[in-house]
Amino acid sequence: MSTAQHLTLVTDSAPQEASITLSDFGVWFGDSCIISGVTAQLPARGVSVLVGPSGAGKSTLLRAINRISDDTAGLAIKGGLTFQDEDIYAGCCDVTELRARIGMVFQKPCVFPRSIAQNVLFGLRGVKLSQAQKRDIVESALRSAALWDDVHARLGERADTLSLGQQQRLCIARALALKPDMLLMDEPTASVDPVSARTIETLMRDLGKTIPVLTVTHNLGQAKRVADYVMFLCDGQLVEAGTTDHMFSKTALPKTQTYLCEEFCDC
Amino acid sequence: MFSRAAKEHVFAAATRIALFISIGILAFLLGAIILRGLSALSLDFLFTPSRSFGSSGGIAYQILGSLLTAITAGLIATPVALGASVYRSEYMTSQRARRIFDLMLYGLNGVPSIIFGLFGLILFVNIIGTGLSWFVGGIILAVMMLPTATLATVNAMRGIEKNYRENALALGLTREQTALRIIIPQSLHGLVTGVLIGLARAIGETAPIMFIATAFSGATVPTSLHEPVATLPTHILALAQQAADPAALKNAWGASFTLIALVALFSLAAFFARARLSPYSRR
Repeated sequence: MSTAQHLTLVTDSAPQEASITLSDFGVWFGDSCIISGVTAQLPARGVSVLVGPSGAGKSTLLRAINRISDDTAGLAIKGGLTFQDEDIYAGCCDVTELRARIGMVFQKPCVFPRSIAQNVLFGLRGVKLSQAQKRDIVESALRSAALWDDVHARLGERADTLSLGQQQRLCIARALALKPDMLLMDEPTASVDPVSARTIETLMRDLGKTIPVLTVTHNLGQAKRVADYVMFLCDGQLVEAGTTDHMFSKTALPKTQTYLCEEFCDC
Repeated sequence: MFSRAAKEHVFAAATRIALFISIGILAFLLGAIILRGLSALSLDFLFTPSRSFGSSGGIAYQILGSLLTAITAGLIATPVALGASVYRSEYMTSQRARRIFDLMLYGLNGVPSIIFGLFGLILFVNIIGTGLSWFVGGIILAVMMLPTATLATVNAMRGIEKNYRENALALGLTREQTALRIIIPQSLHGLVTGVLIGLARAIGETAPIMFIATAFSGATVPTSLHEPVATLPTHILALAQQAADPAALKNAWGASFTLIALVALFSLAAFFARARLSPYSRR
């Protein structure tokens, strides 16, 4: 599919207000092209979901948005990527500040070998805060991550004593403590049990009311449940993007319908 | 033809024999030193200076000299090993450069100790003109223990999952902050273990400090950096040369036992430090 076709398809159902704008965006590692010609806009609120078969470039695209892969050897970025009208790959962009603004939660929960409270405050080290401010931030972040009720009585305990589902919610709380402008989630429910997965899904929906949330998932049921906006990537190219209703309906492209309905892709 | 079970028995027996040989040699050596050394040991022996070239008196200055040079070495080697490990782990992105760095460390680890002694003699005594100095001995011992400490730290850093780095970076931490708050605390057990094992080796070394830092007799408590000290290994060497004198031989066993005890102390400390400082230990 050509870039011109992408533009047409995406613009048809593009959101009115955008958080992320991709213009003919591509990611290369050495000679390997992982993503190419992606042109899309993500809405300024709500949950956007990246779907597609393994190797489609979903995680690469997600990681490109907060520049977490910057140190990877051979990385080359082509095209444009703006966040709230700011060119993320411009020379003047402060990468560490950008990463704090665009929070990221990874597939595997990873808590630091410290207490639950210290984990929540980890990204705020270096910021002078009173004990009362710290308590407020910890409580607020844990409540936002639907974890406060589970852990409020043991904030001083080591974080790795929590269950995997709780650890993942702690990772979300840790990102939320920085009050990010956007949250990226790379298969956040892949390593947790179904009950925890549902809790995280609810959490995503709640977070989407205040900030844009972009998540990657292989679980199409989950995509249907949580997404306001869906992007379908295949073989490094954006096949189609649009609202959830559109993407899961008969009006979507045949290729999209085949993948979203039959979980099969012939890219 | 042997049956599979018979082969299994032969293999198990061969490995058992290998184990018994290695334990047997160690037990014999330690047993001999402990049995003979204990008879020489007393508070007087440990806390009084030697007299008559060591055949009478104690080993107070030798213990002090050994600890002084070894601890100086540890203090010098620790920050260098830590810095080198952090650079290799966090800033050296080329795999080829990492391999060369590792190879150099393994090479440095294999250099015979006498070569370090000669290097110290030429550089510090002949060229710089420091004369015999316990501090120079500490520097040379630090160079000797550097590969052990660095490799142990590098291995500990290698064991830290990529996830930790990515999660720290994703929270807006710089590479420096990631190194200080995630990488170093989580690899501290490797550094401490490496330094303590290096110390255990350094305190027993004779050759590297023989020409540059020690005096066989007459050395007391140094009052400046440019003075020699007496150390346990050189003292044992001097006493062994007077083996015909039973009093000197008895003191040699006593000094050997003390040296072994110090080495064991450092090794035990390394064992407990590893268990205590490991990020996976429950505190």
